[in-house]
Amino acid sequence: MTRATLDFLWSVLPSLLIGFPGGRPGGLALTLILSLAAIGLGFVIALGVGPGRAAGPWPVRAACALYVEFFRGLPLLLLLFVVHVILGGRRLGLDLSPRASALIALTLYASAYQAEILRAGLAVVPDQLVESARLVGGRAWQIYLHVRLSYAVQVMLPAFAGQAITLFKDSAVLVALGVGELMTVTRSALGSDVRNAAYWLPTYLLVGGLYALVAFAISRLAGRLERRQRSGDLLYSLTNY
Amino acid sequence: MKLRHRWFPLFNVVALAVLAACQPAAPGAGQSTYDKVMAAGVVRAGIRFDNPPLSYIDESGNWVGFDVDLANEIARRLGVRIEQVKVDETTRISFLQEGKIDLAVTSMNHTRKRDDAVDFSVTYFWDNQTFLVRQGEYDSLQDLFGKKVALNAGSSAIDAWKKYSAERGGPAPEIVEFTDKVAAVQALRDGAVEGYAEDGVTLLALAAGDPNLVLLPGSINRVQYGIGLPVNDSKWRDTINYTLQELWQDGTYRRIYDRWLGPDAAVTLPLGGEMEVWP
Repeated sequence: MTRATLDFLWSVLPSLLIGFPGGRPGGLALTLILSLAAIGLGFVIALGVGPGRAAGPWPVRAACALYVEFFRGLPLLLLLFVVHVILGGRRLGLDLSPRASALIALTLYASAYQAEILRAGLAVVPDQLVESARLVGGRAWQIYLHVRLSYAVQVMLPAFAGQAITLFKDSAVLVALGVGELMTVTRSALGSDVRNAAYWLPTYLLVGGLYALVAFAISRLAGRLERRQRSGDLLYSLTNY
Repeated sequence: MKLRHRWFPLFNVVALAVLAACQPAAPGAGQSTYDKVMAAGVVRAGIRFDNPPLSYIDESGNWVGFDVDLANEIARRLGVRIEQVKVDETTRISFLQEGKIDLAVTSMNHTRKRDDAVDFSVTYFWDNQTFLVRQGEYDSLQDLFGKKVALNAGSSAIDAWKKYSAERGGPAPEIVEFTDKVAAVQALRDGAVEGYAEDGVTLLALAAGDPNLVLLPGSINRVQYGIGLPVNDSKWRDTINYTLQELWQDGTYRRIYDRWLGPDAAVTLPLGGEMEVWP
């Protein structure tokens, strides 16, 4: 790697991390903000859709199933265009900005996957656990919230973490709308001068490293969370006595 | 439930078909874009962000270049604020069709095929498309017949090269499409492709930055940039055409051109045409 390459990478690094100077947050910071918001909002939706698909009157089950299959079945890039150009176009009067479209598309995408994970989690809650809760006098909603749901989320933590990492990485397709996140900034920085073609490979390697670094951090964080919860888990301590 | 599952993929197909049927947004329904722009006091200009020296983002994050200056000047003449929207070769047309932008100042070649989907202003930039190759490997466009070449996805050069090659009895060309210009140049350097066709102005900049790359003489396609506009909206198209012609007549166009492509600029391209001015 030559001196000029290092100088170039060093000069674009701040933009890659937090966006161009004087502008709104961009780069990796925006990627993180959008991903975290989408995962959070997606989880809220999944809380309704996941259990809805597992139990409930058949119209609810069918609607939830349709929701999951539709948003899980569309490629993220296509979903992004559907949201930005068709749903968020002037036709329906919404007129969404690229950022808003990006957040909505990522949220819908994340929620469909999270709903499925939650449904799988709910399916493996041991009956004994629910019955014990009922024996000690738990009300239906208490049992649902504190036993079934909390158990489902705990056992499915690795799956949720995997989904979060996937979503974070997949957010790279937002470059198609020029949202200003890491991939867009990379393309702008490289595209600012045709002579930057020489730095193409090292720059994308650096950006790949940034993505991998964050993905690794999420994975470690999830691992730590899992271990901490396990130690406090009654079932776990009984079976691993 | 199990049985019903089988039908969900079908549902996706149906839903997408319905969405596709909505395309394109009812053109010219009601108001002209002119009225919308004037009422809002904002014109939304689609501009590319990785196309130096015509439009790019510099180190301090400013969006600059010939197309950018032109778009800014048009907005100023219309007396409205400009909102710059990032587009690329693949989104500039769909965004126009769906009203996400009011005009596209995107170094877009005026072709009949594109005219089916959007409308164009008068030509505001003249150039030629040719190939960039590695120094010393090829001497003429004929040498590239049947070779693997890189072209921009959605570029008018794709059809132009097929036609050029077919008319001169060349074999069917092998084309690799790139959405990222820098990636295409890298492929050329690495030997993954034998040539890369682009508008002359871009190739000049590329060749100036790398002694190992040269332009082939000749032209596979004339380049005539027009500003992309929503289809069937003559009031708005007139407004843009008149504005461009005024910029040409009072010398503002020439000042902007010389700033980016004149004798003192990093890339020099002699003005290749003359704008038609209606009396």
